[in-house]
Order: sequence, then structure tokens, then C-alpha cells
Amino acid sequence: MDRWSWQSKTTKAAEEKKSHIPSVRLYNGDDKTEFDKGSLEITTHRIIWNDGRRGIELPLKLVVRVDSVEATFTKSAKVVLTLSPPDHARDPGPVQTSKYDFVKLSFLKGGHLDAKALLVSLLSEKRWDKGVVAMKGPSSLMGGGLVHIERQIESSRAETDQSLNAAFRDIDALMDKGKEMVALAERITVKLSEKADSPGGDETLELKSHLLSIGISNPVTRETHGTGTKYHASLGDELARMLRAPLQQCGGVMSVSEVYCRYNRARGVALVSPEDVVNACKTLTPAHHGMELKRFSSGVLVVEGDNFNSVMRTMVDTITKNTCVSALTLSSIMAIPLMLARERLMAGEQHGLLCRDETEEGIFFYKNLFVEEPRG
Amino acid sequence: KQWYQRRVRGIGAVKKQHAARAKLSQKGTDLAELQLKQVSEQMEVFKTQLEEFAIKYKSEIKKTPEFRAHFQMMCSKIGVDPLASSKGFWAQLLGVGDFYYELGVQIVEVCLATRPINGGLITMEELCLRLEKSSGKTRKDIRSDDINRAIAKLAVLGDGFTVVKVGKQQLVQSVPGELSMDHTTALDVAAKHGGQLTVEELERLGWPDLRIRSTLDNLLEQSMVWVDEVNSTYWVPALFK
Repeated sequence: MDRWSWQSKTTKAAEEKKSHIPSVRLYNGDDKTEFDKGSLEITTHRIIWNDGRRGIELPLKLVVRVDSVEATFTKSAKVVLTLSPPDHARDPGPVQTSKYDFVKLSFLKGGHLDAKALLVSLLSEKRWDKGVVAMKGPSSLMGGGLVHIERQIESSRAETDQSLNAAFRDIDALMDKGKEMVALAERITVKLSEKADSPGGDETLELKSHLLSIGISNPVTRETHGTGTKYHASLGDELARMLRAPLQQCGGVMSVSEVYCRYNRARGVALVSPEDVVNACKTLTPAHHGMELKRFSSGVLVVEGDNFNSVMRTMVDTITKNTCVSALTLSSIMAIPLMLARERLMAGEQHGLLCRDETEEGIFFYKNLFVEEPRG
Repeated sequence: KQWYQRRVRGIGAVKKQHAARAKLSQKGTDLAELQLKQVSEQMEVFKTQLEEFAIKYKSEIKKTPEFRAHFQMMCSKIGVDPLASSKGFWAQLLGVGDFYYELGVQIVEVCLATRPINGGLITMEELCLRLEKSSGKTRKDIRSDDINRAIAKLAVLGDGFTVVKVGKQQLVQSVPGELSMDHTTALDVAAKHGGQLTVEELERLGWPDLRIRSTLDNLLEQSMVWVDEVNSTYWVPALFK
């Protein structure tokens, strides 16, 4: 509540009243305030609360976010305004300090959704920024020129609105056609799937490629057509070429997220979707590409170079030299990210090379001595 | 001998069935071929329309969040995902993919860079700020809707990219492993105290010791929570103000 100032009676330049809602209570964060049952006026520049006796205002430029909370049986609907830190140069107001950085507007007689929508659109317009310098008033000398500028700003804003509306109409027209396409394609998919005798015919493949082109998210499309297509195979080849050197540097393992980033950064344009990157990785083979996709039980996907076994051996040797390691120490010794250190230790454990010891300080890994030949 | 005759009859009947089915399926194939041709033709028409649309609006996708939002809404209305394939019409002709995939790259980079500190949890707010900073030229108008869509696509990469709700905040998770209700409740408590989490606060929720211990240990193990041993307090770096 410490961002509110006493209401100033002067209207700002280009300020426009947008809405008036009765019966609104203000909350300082989660706490009720004494500003109860007043009316709320929303303008393009500020929110004004007034109960007849006193009025306070909040500049819209301090509002970072607008959320709404639905009414429950005992509580009325609210709009939550998250605010930026208080401006020290602000005009004096009713509250000096507040531990909260949000306020709530409680709409005792409804209207919260409209208010929220209005606030969201006003916040995106940011009319207070576009305001003209002088105030509206009887200044005939300057008045003419400034009014003209104001009108120009208004009309260009109106133009943007209009062109946006035109764009929306064009989108809708395009989508009408798209809707026909989707319906047609789906009818045929049903017909084809009814033909139980030839599940993998050429037509099915062709249809599925059409579906994918238009973006119909069909799980069947993805499974049988999404992977192993020529596109993904050639993408895989390209990836392998690009990754050979970096993979060596990373100790033979790289997360698929990193592959995605590197590849798209290298491409620059006509970027590839995460899904296509994953599908391309699925086409990698050790024989042909010298690397392959591996999936850990946690779901983490990595591309592993064929030097993986030697990496495992190096890791076990490192661990033996240090008696035991945690993921943190391993990551610094081998200079790999913590995530990968963890995954490698898990992999080592799963392959029976390591044993873990869970302590209060964390999890430590030792070389698995149980599988060693007993000495003497 | 009788047995042999019966057997032949059986085989004959089966062969007849096969022949009949084959004939039907042939007819079916012809029909399907015709319909497929129809689909191909319609696709061409649609492609032309999309090309014209793209000439006018290709740049709007990148520039105008309202345009993006309306476009995405209409797509989901008719049941298409413009980001389903990099080879799809939408990506190739309209370049919708480029916007979201590049955003995806930036999100991954921010998350990877901040992971050593926050253990793979970052508030939507901080993510937005860092994204704006990292490429100021074209990225002034990223909405949380855009980020949510980009993250939905990143999930397939296997690093557990999701958006988690903690109290009133949205956090972006970039490590695998599900955050249980206890985890998010504890994080919510921390959020209300500027990122600090104390055993007392969790006790106030009525949690028994074991539950508090296991939740804290779990979060510590994932590096989402750090402990200040000197003062015996716990901190969630992701939620620092």
C-alpha cells in the first residue's frame, strides 16, 4: 500500500477514464485495509479509489502483473496487482511503508474479470509513456501544436489497432481453410485405419506426411512417421559431423539439450524443433556415426561417443585414486557439468562398476570391490 | 482318408476367404487412393493461401505478441500444432518455428547457466528478465505465454523442462525429477520469506519431523536448497528477491 498517493485532482495529458466500478475494497498484500467499500476508477494512467471522504491513486506504471482470484463461498473475487518497488519521488500517500509488494482489489459487487482484462490491455498500451508534455488547458499558443500531435498519436494508435484487427481477420480466414483441411485429413485417416489389411502402405505414409505438414498432432503420425524418415536421417548425419569434435572435448557425453542449442546456434535460420533434434539423434549409430543416443532411467537423454567405455574406465580409475567421490568432486576433477557427473556415476553404478554410500554429507561412490577377484 | 478330405476342404475355404478379402481391399485401396489425391490437391491450395498470408505477416510473428497469441489460439482451435514439425508448412512458410525454437535455445542457455546456483529451478520472472537482457534487440516483447509454449516443446529433450506452480509464482524446472506436493509447499513457504526456509515454518504446517527432514534432504540433494550451517538455516536461491 505504500505505492499509493493521495488523489490528485488534475488530469494527466491524454488521460482517459476507462471504467468505474463500485464497492471495491483494497488489501495491503494479504491484509485488509481500512479502504473499504469505495468505488474504483480505472484510467489510462492510474487507478483511483474513492469513498466520498478520501481518494487515493496508484500509477499504472508501477503495476508489474495482474492476476485474478475467483470468488469462493466466503471470499469475494479479487484482482491481484504485483507492484514494482516504490518510487521515492512519489507524492505523499496514506501509508509510508509496506512489507508487501502486491495489493489486492476485492470486488464486492463483481466486475473483477472486466477490470482485469481492462488493466491488462491498459498496461500493454502504456499510454502514460506516450503522453504529451503539457497538460490539457487553455494555452492557446502551444495548444494548437500539441493538440495536433496528440491527435496524430491517437490516430496512429488507432491505425495499429485497426491493422491488428485486420491481421486477426486474415488469421481467422486462413484458419477456416485450415479447419477444412484438418477435417478432410481426419476423415481419410479413419478410413485408412479401418483397412486393417495394409497398415503400412504407401498411402498411409503419404497421408501421415501430409498430417505432419499441417501440424496435426497425431501420436500415430509421430511414432511411425516421425522417426526414421529421410529428413531425420540426413539431420542425424549433419549432427554427427557437427558434434564429433565437441563430443571428444566433453569426455564423450553431451546432453541432448546442449546438442539442440549448439545445432540451432550453428544453423542461425530455419531452426529445427527440439523434437526433430531428438528424432535425428535416434538415427545415430556407433558404427556409422561414432555416437548414439542413450536414455537414462531418469529420462535424461545424452549423445554418447564411442569412447564411452574408455570414459567409464577413466572415471573408475579416478575414483580409485581418490578412494571415493561425490558428484560434485567428480564434476570438478573431470571438468564436466554436475548433471553429467551425476548421470555418469549412476551409469557406472548400473553397470556394476561402482557402489554408493549414502551419508549425511551426500552420496559418495566407490569402486565396486565386490566384483573383483578375491586376492590370495 | 476322410480326415485328409476334410482338411483340404478347410484349406479351400480359407483360400476363398483370402481371395474375397483381397478383392475388397483392392477396391478399398482404389478408394483411398482417390481420397488421398483429393487431400494432396487441397494441401496445395492451402499451401498457396498460406504463402500469401506469410508475405503479409511473416514479420508480425516476431514483432507482435498479440498477433502470436491470436494465431496460436486459432491453431489450437482447429486442432493443429504449428510447432509440430520443422518441416511442416507453418515452419517452412511462416517461420513460426524460428521464433519459438530460438526462444527455446535461449531458455535452455539461461537455465544451464543458472543451474549451479539454483539447482535447476528459476522463477518465470527471473527467466524473463535474463532473456530480455541476453538479446535486447528483438526480444522486448516476450510474454509468459510465449515462454510456456517454448518450454512445452523443450520437454522432449529429456531434461525435465516443465513449469511448476509454487504458490502464486511460476517456476521453470530444468532438471528431471518430479517435485512432489511437499516440495512445492516447502518452496512456497520459502517464497513467502524471501527465499529462506526454516524448520520452524515447516513445523507450523503441522509436519512431523521425519517429513520435514526428508523434504529438506531431498531438496538439498537436488541442489535446489542450500544450507547455511553456521546459522542452521536453509535457502532457496531460485527464490531470492
